[in-house]
Amino acid sequence: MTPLWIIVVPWIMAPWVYLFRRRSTIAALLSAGTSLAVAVICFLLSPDQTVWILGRGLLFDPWRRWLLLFLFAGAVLLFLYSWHLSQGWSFFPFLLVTLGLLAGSAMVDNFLLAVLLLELAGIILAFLIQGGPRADPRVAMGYLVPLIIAGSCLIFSTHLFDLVALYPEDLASVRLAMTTLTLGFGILLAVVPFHLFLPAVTQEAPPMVATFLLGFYQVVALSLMVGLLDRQPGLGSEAFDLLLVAGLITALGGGVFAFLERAPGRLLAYGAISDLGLILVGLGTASGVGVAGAMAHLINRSLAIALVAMSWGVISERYGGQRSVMPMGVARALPWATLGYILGGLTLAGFPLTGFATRWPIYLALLPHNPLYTFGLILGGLGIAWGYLRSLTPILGRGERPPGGREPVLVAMMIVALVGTSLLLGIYPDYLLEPLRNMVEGFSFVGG
Amino acid sequence: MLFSGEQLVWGLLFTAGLIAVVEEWRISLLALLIQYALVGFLLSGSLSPSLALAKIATGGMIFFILYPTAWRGRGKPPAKIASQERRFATSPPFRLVGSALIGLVAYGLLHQYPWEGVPTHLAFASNFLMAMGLWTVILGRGPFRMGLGLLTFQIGFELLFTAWERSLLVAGLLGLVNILLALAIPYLEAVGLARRGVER
Amino acid sequence: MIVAQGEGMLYLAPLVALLGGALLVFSNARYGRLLALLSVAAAFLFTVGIVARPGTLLLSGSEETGLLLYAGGPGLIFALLVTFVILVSIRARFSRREEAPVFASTLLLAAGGLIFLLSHNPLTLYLGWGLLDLSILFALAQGASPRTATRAMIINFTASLALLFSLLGAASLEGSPMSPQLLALLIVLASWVRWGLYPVQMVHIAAEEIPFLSGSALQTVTLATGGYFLTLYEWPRLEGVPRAVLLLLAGLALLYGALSTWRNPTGIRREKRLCLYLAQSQMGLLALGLLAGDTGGGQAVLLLTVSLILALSVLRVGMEAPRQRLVVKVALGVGVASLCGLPLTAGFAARWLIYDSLLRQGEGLIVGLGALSSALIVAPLLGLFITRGPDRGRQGRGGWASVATLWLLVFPLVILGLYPQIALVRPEAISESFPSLAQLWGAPSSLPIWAAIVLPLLLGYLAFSQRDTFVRFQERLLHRAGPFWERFSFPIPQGSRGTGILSYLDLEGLYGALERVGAKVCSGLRGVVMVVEGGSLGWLLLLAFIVGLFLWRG
Repeated sequence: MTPLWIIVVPWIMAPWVYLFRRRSTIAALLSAGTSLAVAVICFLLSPDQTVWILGRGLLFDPWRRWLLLFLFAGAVLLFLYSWHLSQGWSFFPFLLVTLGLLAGSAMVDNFLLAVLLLELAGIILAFLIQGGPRADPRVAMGYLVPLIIAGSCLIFSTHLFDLVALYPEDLASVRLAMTTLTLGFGILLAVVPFHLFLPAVTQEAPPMVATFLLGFYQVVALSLMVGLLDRQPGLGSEAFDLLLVAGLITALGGGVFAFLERAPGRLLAYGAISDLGLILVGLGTASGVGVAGAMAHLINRSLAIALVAMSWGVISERYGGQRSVMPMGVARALPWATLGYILGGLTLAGFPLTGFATRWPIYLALLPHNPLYTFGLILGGLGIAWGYLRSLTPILGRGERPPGGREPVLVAMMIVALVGTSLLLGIYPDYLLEPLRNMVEGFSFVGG
Repeated sequence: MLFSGEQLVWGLLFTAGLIAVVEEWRISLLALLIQYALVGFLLSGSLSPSLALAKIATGGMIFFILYPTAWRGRGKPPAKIASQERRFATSPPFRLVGSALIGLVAYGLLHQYPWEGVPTHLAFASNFLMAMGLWTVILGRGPFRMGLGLLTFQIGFELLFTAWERSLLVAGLLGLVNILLALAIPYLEAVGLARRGVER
Repeated sequence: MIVAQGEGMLYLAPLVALLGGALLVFSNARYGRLLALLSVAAAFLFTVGIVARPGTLLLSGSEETGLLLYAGGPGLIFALLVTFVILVSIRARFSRREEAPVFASTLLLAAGGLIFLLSHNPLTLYLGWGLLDLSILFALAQGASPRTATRAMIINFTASLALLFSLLGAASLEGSPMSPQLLALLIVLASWVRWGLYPVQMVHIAAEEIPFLSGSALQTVTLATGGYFLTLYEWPRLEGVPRAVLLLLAGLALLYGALSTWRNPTGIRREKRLCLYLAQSQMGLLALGLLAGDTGGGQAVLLLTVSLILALSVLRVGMEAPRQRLVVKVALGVGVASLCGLPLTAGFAARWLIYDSLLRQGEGLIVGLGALSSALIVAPLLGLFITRGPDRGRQGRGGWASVATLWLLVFPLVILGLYPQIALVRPEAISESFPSLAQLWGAPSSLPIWAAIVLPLLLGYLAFSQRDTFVRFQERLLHRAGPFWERFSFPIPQGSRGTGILSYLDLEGLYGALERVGAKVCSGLRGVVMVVEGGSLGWLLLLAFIVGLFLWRG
């Protein structure tokens, strides 16, 4: 068994799933089974393998192993959710193809090819974002345009890195490379002010597609960036200073926008954007504690996004596809979804029991740089918290029973499981932080 | 060759300008097809003939992917929506002036940041195509027009990048990006048409 | 898990009992009452066991930066009190039909309160704050008004940041990123919020809106955790805190509670609010005492909070019991006496400590205010158990079991009144400032304190008899000022007698106005954001900026 199976298996299963796309049970089970199988493959394969395809290497090291395990295990949840709450007929097969592309992007040992594969995965996501006739196609288009620009910037930067390798004293190339990288990753990761497309996407797209984009696609993009920082020490300390500043602006900006927002989809987007800023800050500290905290928070963030999106998806679907505002009286009608929505939102905000645990190492790592930055991060979290807690007014109010009935049992169980996992991580973060700390020590840019 | 490099570049500038200024779908689509052909001819000097032909073939495929959707959308939108969409910013004079300005910006950037290892006329064409592509995207009122702009941008970018990277795998993947983009555009346009209730 | 001293698993046992009980109640609604009672009884017994074997439990990390529980000191006393009161409350409501979520929320509140009370370093306190807020949210979902619930949660979450800042200060090697004065102020404000003191009394308001059991648990837990927070951070030692402002706020709380109790018309519905107002006036008095004087470094906090929780519980349970019976009236009378600070009750010792400290600091005015507040609350309290003729609304339900349950709460009030040192951590401190009863009779220096305690009983009747005069004055004032007031779109408070102008004290109008202004500002800004993000305007601006940057730098 080789790591190539991780890429190939989803592609092999995608056409079969496409055949059954209108039968959600078969499609969901096939897709979830495929993802689970690939996750098991990731777990069983021994790390530190390299497979050569067309002269290019596909690496499978411990870092990639856990990344892919996270990716495919998360996909299982998304598929199971979509079994009862449809995300569009194209969701199952297209997501499998996307997973294969993302796996290829994560494993390939060539930045140019990784970016191209990521771009291809992103274009396929546009089909999922549209998800049928309900959404406004301008939203998907508004997502595609920045994606292509970002991809072009990153592809261009590969040429610049070649130039830098040939002429290390050429500062202009270094600066241009930094600029294109900033633009490219800034757009892909929706860093403020390049985040403009994301709120509309999260608002209009099916919830699980939004979850995949925010919680998994961006994770792979971020891992590409981390890999680049590891392999290109020539970028120097300026890159990390830039990460710090960009992260801070993003965290604060996302928090402020979240505070202003009422639409649940857009609120989720801003919360995710703000949390991503926190992660960038953690990376920018270039310390073991900070980077480990950033990686741990990446996982916690994805959990929280999944929780909010799942809960909001149930609420929206049960209230007849209502997406722009929170319906009244949701707490009585859909208690589990309410719990998931509020707790997920507070996790994004850094609530003491859940989100705080993975934020704390980043705060600690940031203190020696400038304590004021920490206040900025905390204020960002406060904005998100106020945004979510404001929804309590309609949630706890009195309203009509949803025409769609209660939450599906499986979905309710998934929400409860995610809540439990979030609480557990909040109380015992060391289970995550310690192994990550050992892993990030291997990065070349990590200092003390 | 039938035409010189500079003549081909002028042809590219003209087609890009046509896409940005003229809203008539037949002209825009034809201009896009010609663009792919011109790029193929331009690159045939530096790339292998099969690769250049692949680029032209990609352009042809994209043309045939976009044509049916463009034909479906040839009808006028309902009067109410048409009146909402009539704005100064989308009138031909504005687009023409804007395109000229964009051309100037592209020329200015060329002199500020000359691309190493790329002939000047190619570099200018690339800058111009990318800039006009973005301009078309900004002006575009629907997925089809925005998609044309995006494809123009991609053509400009590939024109530049192919000068540095000539790997077959990379070229193939870039072509795949274009194909997927071309598939996404008609899908989104079809949804848009259905939502707008276009009159035939 | 490392146990520094004591029995580790025992310290977690009450929490496990409560959380496990909540889960069982959810899954087995049919036996919810019994499961809830057994669960709280187990938690109470385990807590009693902890009293016998105090110690610390380190759950993870180091003592400074890890999860550290301390089973001892004031936290343990409060924990014992909370479990006891909730146990009695559940027993008192045993014969009533309560829904399973009510029992579950009560158990969760108890668990949240316990974890907070046993926390012993800022990190654990911060996490405990989170669990407590979560349990409060669940309780508020049982019927609190959405606006009150939203305000309470927003304020609680924001206040918790004070703990986070103190954590950062402790963690920073270069010293705190925040000035000590600012940090001290934030801690005081956080404790103000945790305690639910006016003007951030939303949690107490919500406690009156939710079902009896959850409401009783919520108020008890809020008072206990707030009191614990105060003893932990020792208000008098927080330097640089702007005392004048805090004194003013505390005085407002005292007067708000007293005036609101005084203006509150009698009747079953309004009686529920009594506990809210009484708590505010007592807490205001304590806050004044702490800020203006040095009342035994937290002894008064402990005593007053314990007596307040017990007395309010007596009132709550007593209001549900058959009040026409003499035993119930006597029980209510003991509760009322404790709230008024009369001798032989737990409230007397606390009030003595506060007044004694204030008089030594020369703060006679504050003692006078305290006496005035007692005068205002006396008559409405007496109205609780004075029944004239058959009054079906006050007959209550329950037989000897409910009466026995009520007296379970009354006995500690009396015992603590006779031996207050039982509840104290450092009993020797109180013996110095608190003479024996025989000494009290003869000491001339205690005369002002006796006057402040006894005179309100006489003045109370006078104050209550003037309510009608005030109502007539208020009606005339509103009649003349009404058109002018309405021109500024301020709503004229309409209501039954005695609720007009004083209803502004609830600050409902102020909070509503702040929310409206905030909503308008947010709506405007949101519109701007949507215009920039929607369409291509934002991208155009960005593109122009980037191109301009390139051209400029070139």
